[in-house]
Amino acid sequence: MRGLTGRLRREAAVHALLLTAALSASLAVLLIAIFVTAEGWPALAALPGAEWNPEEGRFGVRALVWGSLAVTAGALLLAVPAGVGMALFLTEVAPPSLGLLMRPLLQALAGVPSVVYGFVGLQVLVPAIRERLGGPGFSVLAGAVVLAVMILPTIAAVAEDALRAVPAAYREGAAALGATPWQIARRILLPAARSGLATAVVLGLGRALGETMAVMMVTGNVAAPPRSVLDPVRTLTGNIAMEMGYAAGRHRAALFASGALLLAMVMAVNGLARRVGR
Amino acid sequence: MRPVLWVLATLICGLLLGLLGLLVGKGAGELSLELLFTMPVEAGRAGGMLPVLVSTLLLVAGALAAAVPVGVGAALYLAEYAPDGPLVRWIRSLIEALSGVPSILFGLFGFSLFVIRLGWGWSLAAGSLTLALMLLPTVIRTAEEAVRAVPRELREGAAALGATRWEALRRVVLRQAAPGILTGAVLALGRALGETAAVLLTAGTDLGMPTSLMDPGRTLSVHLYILATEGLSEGRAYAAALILVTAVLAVNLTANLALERWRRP
Amino acid sequence: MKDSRPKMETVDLHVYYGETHALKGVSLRIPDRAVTALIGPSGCGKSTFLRALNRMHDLVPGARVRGRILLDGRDVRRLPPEELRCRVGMVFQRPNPFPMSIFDNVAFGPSLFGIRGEELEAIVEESLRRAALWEEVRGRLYADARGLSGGQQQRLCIARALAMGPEVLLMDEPCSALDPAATQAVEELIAFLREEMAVVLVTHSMRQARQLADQVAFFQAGRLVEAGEAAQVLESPRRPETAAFLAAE
Repeated sequence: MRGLTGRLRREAAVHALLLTAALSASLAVLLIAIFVTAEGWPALAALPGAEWNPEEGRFGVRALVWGSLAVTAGALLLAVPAGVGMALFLTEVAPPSLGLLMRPLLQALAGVPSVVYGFVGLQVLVPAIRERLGGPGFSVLAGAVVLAVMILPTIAAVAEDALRAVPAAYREGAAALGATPWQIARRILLPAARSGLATAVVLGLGRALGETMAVMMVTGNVAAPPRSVLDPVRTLTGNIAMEMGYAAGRHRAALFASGALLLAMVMAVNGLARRVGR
Repeated sequence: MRPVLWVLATLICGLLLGLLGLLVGKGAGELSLELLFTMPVEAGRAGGMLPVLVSTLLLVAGALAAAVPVGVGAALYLAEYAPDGPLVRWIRSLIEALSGVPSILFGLFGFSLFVIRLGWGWSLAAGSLTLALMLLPTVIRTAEEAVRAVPRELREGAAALGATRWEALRRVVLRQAAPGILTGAVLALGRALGETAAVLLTAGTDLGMPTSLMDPGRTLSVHLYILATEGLSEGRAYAAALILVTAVLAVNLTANLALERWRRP
Repeated sequence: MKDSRPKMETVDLHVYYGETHALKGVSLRIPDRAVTALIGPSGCGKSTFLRALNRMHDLVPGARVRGRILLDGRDVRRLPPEELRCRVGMVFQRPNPFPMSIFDNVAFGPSLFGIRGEELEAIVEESLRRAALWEEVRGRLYADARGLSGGQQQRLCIARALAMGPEVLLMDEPCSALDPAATQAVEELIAFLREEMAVVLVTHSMRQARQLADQVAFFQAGRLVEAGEAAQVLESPRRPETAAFLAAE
């Protein structure tokens, strides 16, 4: 027989255990930030330099940041119109049955691992760019396209939610005045869904900045700021992945430091997303 | 506007189908029992992928074994025990922040803590624990939703019979929420299979057959990366990609279908 | 009416849901081995009062309870709520069987104390008999409880509550979701239960109150307007509000 006091004691124990689980989960992000910053501390000062050349002890990340920004900007240029367009399609044009088919498709696209995107980009996109447009093929353009495909589902999903939240009354009112679907979209829907759409864009931005494998595989290996979209680049993330395996000493610290920088950038973007969404 | 959007939608659908078609076209021919069950030869240019598949299974199993209990525990706390207040808001914000951290940073953390400081070296254990951290937000989110969805009347009924909060949770609420929680674990499984960057930095790239969790190992995604970037074998790479995508899509499809059916019965 | 100490009693009971003052200064005695019926218009606070008796408001964030609630003369806030609820059981308006077998539902309470085997089976059978459900389910004790009809589910919930051996049974409009036949079965049950325990019954049916109650308490707008012997309150109420309410019913 289990007395009530025993049961109440077990309750208290379980309560403590579950609280520990919750606290541990929440401490994880702090631990990551602390570790990465601590490991990178010795080399933080070297980061603002212009050149990344571990052999000569130069650990400036400016070129890498330019690389990340270039690829991200390109990806957004492609993915935002496509994603918002997709969202518009799902909310305004597609019959409901088609939507039922397409949403799992978008979910599936989102589920494909980044290394697979990188592989296909490597096999198909890079040679295509090399042949049709020139340059080595490994390029900002390749990175932007691959990234765009990867962040498209996120942007489309958030944009769709934002568009669905626009009251039907607005649509009906505009239609009753004789507006075409495009006019309704441009003048009523998109402005009304402004904050949700902005959130979608910022979320896509955050994901793009943090992406590693796919971009790494198609942008080449040149740690210099790109002068055209056909130039190869290296991103902050790709840099870490590529060199971590054999880096030591100050080199390793510099990689950690660049990781801390990346974390700060992504956290800032995510914080922006939250504020924009209000 | 309509025609433009139709074209766009078709293109995007075409993307996924084209991707799958490419992988099937170039990879299906390479698939064979030999591929799945024998050891690799010449660094993967020939032979099979057995150690890769074993490493992947071990790594993912380990990650789930760590992430699911902690994640469900945290979700239970947030759904059933947490009082309203600043502490809980902080916990939630931090967990949400965790879900935004890029995978390479998890890799850095895991490398610094498990591989170097704890002295485990490149190991499946380091990879599993690092991966578990990445999966936590997914598990917590779905588990919390599942627990919150249990009707209040069931909880009240249990409480009215003198059950403690945990007794009501364990005997009544969890029973009802189990499908949803399980689905969250399956979704996490899908993510774990596809993860590369973090695993690369913690479990290493060793192609040998792991005999314990402290051994290094190469997972399928890392194998694909190496085969692709070192140009070792295009055929094998396509096969690896095909297996990986099939596994991930199958897992995700199952989970999402289950979620849909469970959200709108 | 008994002049011995009441089984339960509230003294100046107030309940707040956030800013809303749901129950205002209610002082009421609940006699043992009798049925106390709580009547009044919708939203008058009778369910709120009922739920205060077994501290269900503890489960509601933002709910505050002031005043004293006594069980056998002792303040219930000094007990762990789990212990209180073992002695004061509750049956809800809509049946809420757990997603498990009929047997497991009824056995739930006792099993928390580690009761098993033959002892548990005996308790389940007895509880189902007292709830007048045994004959109907004895052949399918291990079937899912959700497969029962509404009336059977409610009797199951009553059996489940009885399995704890409560001294007081709180019933919140237990027949409102039931058809007439099931209602009659439950009312017969209540008549039996009054021999053994105190029953507090929230009801919208004056017929039910007339038939079953020993004491009737009329609530309005969160206040206890009038309480007394059933016959007196229902036939010749002392307060005009009571009379107005009864006339409208």
